[in-house]
Amino acid sequence: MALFTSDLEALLYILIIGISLYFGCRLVAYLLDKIKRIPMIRKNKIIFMIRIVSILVFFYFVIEGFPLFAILDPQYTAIITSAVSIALAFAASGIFSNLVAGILIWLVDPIDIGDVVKIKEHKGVVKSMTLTKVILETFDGVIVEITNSDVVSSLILNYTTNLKYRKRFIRFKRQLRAPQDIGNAQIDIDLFDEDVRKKQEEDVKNLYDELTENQLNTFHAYTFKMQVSYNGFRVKVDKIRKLCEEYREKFGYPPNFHIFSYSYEIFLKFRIVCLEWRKLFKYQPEFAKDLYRIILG
Amino acid sequence: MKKRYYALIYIIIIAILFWVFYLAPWDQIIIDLIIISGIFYILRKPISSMFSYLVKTRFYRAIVITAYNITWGFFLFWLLFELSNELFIALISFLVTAVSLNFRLILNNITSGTLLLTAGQFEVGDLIETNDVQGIIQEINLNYTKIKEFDGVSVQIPNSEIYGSTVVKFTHEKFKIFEPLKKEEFKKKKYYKDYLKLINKILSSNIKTTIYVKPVEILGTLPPENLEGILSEVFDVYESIFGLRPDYAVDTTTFGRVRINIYLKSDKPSIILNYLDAFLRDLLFKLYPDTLFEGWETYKKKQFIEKLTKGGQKT
Repeated sequence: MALFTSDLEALLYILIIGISLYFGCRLVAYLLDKIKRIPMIRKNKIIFMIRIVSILVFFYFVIEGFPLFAILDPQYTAIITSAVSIALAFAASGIFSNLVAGILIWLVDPIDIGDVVKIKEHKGVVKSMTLTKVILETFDGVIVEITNSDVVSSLILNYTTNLKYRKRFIRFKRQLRAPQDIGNAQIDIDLFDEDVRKKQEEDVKNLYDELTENQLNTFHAYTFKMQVSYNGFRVKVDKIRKLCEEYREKFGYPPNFHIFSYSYEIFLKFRIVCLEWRKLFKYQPEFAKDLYRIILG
Repeated sequence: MKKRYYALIYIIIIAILFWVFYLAPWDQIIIDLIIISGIFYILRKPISSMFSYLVKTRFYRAIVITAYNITWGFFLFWLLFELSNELFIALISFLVTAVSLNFRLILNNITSGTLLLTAGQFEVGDLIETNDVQGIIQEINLNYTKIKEFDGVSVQIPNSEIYGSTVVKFTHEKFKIFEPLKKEEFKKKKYYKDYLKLINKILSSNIKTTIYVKPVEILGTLPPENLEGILSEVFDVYESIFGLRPDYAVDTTTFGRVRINIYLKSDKPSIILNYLDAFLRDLLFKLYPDTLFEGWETYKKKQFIEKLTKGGQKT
């Protein structure tokens, strides 16, 4: 049973209702603007909700108001309903893409909360993972929200190693060592002797002890690049090595570095191993600044 | 949301539920379903908080919360079905179309992953370069391919990104060509064991080998006639490590420098990954010993004197 007796009457009333709703919304917005006590965020939420309700009310009157719709054959009603639903589905499919991607991330589990990652040029720690977004806190303390569909379709660099159930020392050591450690690629190899080797072993043992003591399952191995000139390279390497030793206490493990390429300058890659991302975020910029002083000082 | 808002919402919902239970003129099934859905909504937050407190593993927490939401959703849809069949059908077709439109993302990655695995393009353990990432493939799963880079950092690339882009395969099969047997030799192989040996030999002939190309630039300060000798010295050392002798080729000259491609060959890609940087270090120190060690002796002496002075001050 339609709300109005004829289609013309329905059209007139609906026009009046539509215009009233529009001006009603404007009036509420104006009044809210005048009330200073209500915060801006709440005002915005109220106006948004009123607009949504107005649209729904308008569509209710359109669907239920015209007698034409009431006398329509049920078959045609079904066809129109399906067509409108599918059209709406196509229009709103973007909203669901993040939801589907969120489920995929949950299933595949490429990252976890607390991981230090690089996604779409944003380096940071994963603070939260919702059904629609992944929230990162970057080294600068800025919060970046990346949609799940962007996460699913982009490269993910994960600097965090999850030890899961592999808490035995040998396995931990195997996971901690970078390929360069296995190949003994340290630049000041001329100073490498039994004492240095023992010291390195001790560092790994201390880190393992700290890990088991704090019942942690992960460690972060963050890498970054720097360029050094050829002249006096060996002296700079020695100074950098001493700086790495100074940062042993801060990171809980001395940073390491190696040559990975050279052309007009020598390209070095630094690797910082740390158990807590907060320490990494706090001391990495400081470490980079000290390196800059050595390299260009 | 603030707690007071939650409290307000809960009070409103409980009031509505009471009204529905005692005064609503609807069918019993609709009343029951409204009450069940309301209870589900009210208990949702406390149950979620309780599980977050009790269960620390995110995976289990997610399973419980999802199961709860699915059950709640089931009752909501049932209620909708009882209220209006048309609305229910419209909503279902809307959801099915909207969600399935997005499954192309997942299907694309799964199909690409399957194609990558079955087409034999590459497999786990191979050294490749794709999407500007070089490393050894660790895992190919539903959505991502996991690659371990040269510095040990793992990178996850969507399967569709790999399938749709250029892949440089440093590891590939080396085909061994066997000389065909002569008629007399073939006749000699009477016993089935000989045939088995032959088949085994043919099957195991596809040995994988890795040839990694590392471009480096050499400064113009190095006389060109010295390059061959220096490289040769380093190649001699690393031949025993890699198992195959490294090689090089001049690519081009640019800004007073020469770019050369160094070919590191090995049967195991992990050996190249482990020893590449050590190789580059040794080569660098052989190429420019004077420039690199500039000021080194003075620095060492200075350090030694400082050490002595500190020691003297202590004593």
